[in-house]
Amino acid sequence: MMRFSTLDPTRWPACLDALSDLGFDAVDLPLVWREHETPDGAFDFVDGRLNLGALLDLVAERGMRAIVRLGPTCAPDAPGLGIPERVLRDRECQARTRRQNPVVAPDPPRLVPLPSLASSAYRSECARWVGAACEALVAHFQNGTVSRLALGHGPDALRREDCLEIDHHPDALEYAPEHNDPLRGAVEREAVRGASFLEHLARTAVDKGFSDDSLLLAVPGAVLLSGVAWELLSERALLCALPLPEAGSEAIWRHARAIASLAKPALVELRVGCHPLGTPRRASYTTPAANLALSAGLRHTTAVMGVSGRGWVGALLDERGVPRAHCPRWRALNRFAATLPEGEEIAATMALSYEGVVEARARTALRPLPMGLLALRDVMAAEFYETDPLRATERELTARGAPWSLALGESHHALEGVEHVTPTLDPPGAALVRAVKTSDGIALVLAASRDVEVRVTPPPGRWTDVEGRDLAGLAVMPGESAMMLQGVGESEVRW
Amino acid sequence: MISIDTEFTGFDARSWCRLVSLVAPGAIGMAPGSVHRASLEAGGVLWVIYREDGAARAIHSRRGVLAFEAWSASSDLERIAAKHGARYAIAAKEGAIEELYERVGARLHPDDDLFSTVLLVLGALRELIDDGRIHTTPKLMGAVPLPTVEVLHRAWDALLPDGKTAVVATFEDASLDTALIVRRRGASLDRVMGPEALRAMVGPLGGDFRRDFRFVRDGVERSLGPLAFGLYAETETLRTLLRAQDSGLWARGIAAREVMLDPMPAWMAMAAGAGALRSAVSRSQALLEAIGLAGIFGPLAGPVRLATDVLREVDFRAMLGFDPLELLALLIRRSASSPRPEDEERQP
Repeated sequence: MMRFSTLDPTRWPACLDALSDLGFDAVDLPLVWREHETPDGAFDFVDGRLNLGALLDLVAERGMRAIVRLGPTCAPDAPGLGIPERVLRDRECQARTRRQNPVVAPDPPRLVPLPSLASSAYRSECARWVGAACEALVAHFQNGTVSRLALGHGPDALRREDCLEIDHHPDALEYAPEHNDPLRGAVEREAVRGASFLEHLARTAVDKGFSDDSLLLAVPGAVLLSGVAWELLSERALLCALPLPEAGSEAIWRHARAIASLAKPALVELRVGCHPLGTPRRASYTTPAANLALSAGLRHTTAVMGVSGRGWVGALLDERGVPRAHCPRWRALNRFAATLPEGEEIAATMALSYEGVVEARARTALRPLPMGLLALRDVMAAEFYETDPLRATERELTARGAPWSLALGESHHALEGVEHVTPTLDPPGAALVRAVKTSDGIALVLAASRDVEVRVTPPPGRWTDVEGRDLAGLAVMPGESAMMLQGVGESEVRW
Repeated sequence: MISIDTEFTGFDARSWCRLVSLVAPGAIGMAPGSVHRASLEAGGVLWVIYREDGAARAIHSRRGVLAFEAWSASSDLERIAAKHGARYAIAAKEGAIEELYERVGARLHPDDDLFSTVLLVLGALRELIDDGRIHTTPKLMGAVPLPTVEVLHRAWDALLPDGKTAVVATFEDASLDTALIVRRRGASLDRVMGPEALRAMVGPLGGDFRRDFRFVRDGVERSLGPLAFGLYAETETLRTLLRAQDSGLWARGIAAREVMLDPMPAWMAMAAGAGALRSAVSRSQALLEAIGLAGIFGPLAGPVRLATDVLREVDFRAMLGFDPLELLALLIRRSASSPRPEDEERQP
């Protein structure tokens, strides 16, 4: 992500060049509504730091693509959730508590009223913004510079759909869920209203000349527990976030596997640095998380933050566009990503159903909780991880070193047929495994999940490293991944 | 005080973590591979939601959802936290958190600044604690009296007047380790800058902070404006002082030039001096008692104690109602179960 509007425009070329040199082939550009709306209610896309056309020309000159985010909430360092103050303060746009007070959300260093996704007034404001931004962008879409358009609130690993879960705005209450069960009804209402908000924005973009398949819809919160994601993931390309590093390797892996297995090609955020009022993290914490995500099969990722001029700590580049000390790790990650295998997954399959999502939400310990408290990263991370009904099965497979994936459908699991791609791990369960059948054979990707070295003994048969050298075993270091390959016809054991 | 217009620049992840770890080592995140080990160690937060009938659910920030016995009484919270290895615990009756949200939402004004917002939230939280609907261990809310917004603004004005800057720069192995430079404009900070920005202002440093601090001061004042105070020390020295139970260590550190304060505002001199006197008095009293001479000097013990108490009152209590250095030391010591980030110290 490049927060271009916070940078001196004379630095834009250096920033783009540096990001390209690090191996990024596209740049993620958030258009922050709050910054582009003028005091008289018009929109500015041409002056100084807001000059979208000049920036996109620079992107095109370098052969890069642009993914543009319109939000309404699209950049984690933008104050006021990126939304104009007049909209935030408009009571008709605000989510409401049971007693009709505003639902407040953290906007460090303050609290702000959260918008109601059900509010017709808010939807109207959002559509006006999205429409104006699309008019400014469509020519760049037609010439291929802008390849995707992202819409929606978030994603941010700290956000859930609490605005609907506890939203008692009159417009939110109009929808009567089918089910009498209050829990199921709440999940259903949140899913339907959240999805309809996103579809509303999508229709606006399509009306202004963007194609349906160019759109990414932002899903707040954890995909595995999101009713909105459930409504959309088989039909729409999503913009998602992963659990934070403190959720642990297995939580990151499972969400990444879910997105890779279940969703249409999605764009997933990988965190680099932090908000100054958020949890401080060193690069040595965030790069292993990115490594896990890539090893788990995610193909399209965006590093947040590539460069920011005002409200972010530890971005890839400093405010002048100079790469920081940890950039070599990200260059290496991008190179690693390019080597990852593509093909058919060989995995034990666990199926997840809508009932499973509802059940998981029912068993969350701290629901419903306002977003401000869920922003406590440890709590959110632990809770999301523990409440999935397939957790026990996943634990067993992970302990065995078996690769697994998720599918949509009535909850079940098929655990057979993976013995030939299950390595032996020492210590057990200390690496996460993915197996892919490629045109050249089978590839095993192993990602270390603990802060210890993992010694791996391959399954029966002849296995090699990526250089073609025979492998009797290998070691995977903490925070890193390794691959072993088995060529076509080289398996000594037929299954 | 920061606002939504405050710009944060000049920090990479390492220098920011080094800075934060000085005062809140437990706030630093961790790598995903370390979570498993951390779950076996003491620390973290325990959250409990309980119902009228005693049924409860609990989640540990490091260990996940816990099998939990029924909730019986708030007096059990400390024992429960200890049992599960949590450093802090919060128990809330079902509905209390929603009620907190209702009260905050009802009282919040769009123009509330950081001080007002924090006091509003803490006030609502305290109401629910007093009602017996939320419980914490340790009882931090009980230990800290809530000042008024006016008191906080007075303290803020005394700490950093409008138009002034402040710098904290720490050094390690003869080079700049991390730094914090802030400038106040109006009611809040407009710039918060880190070591990258400081290096750009100052240029190469010689390697001895006892000499380099002058160049740092000149560079900051040239670039940003007049300094209200500056603190320069080795990182480990500052880390030790912030955790010290003996407040006289600050005075001794200043006297020994292990800590350079330049400029040193009046409140800093008073705090350092009072801390030295307090420390000296407490050591003297202990010595007198140990050698049985306390009775001889008994008539003086009262005035000495009174002088110490007065000084304690004058230090910060007059401004804030409590001693922030003592509270800070308490919180740091409690948070310091996570060892300081000693691994890959030079790595980003």
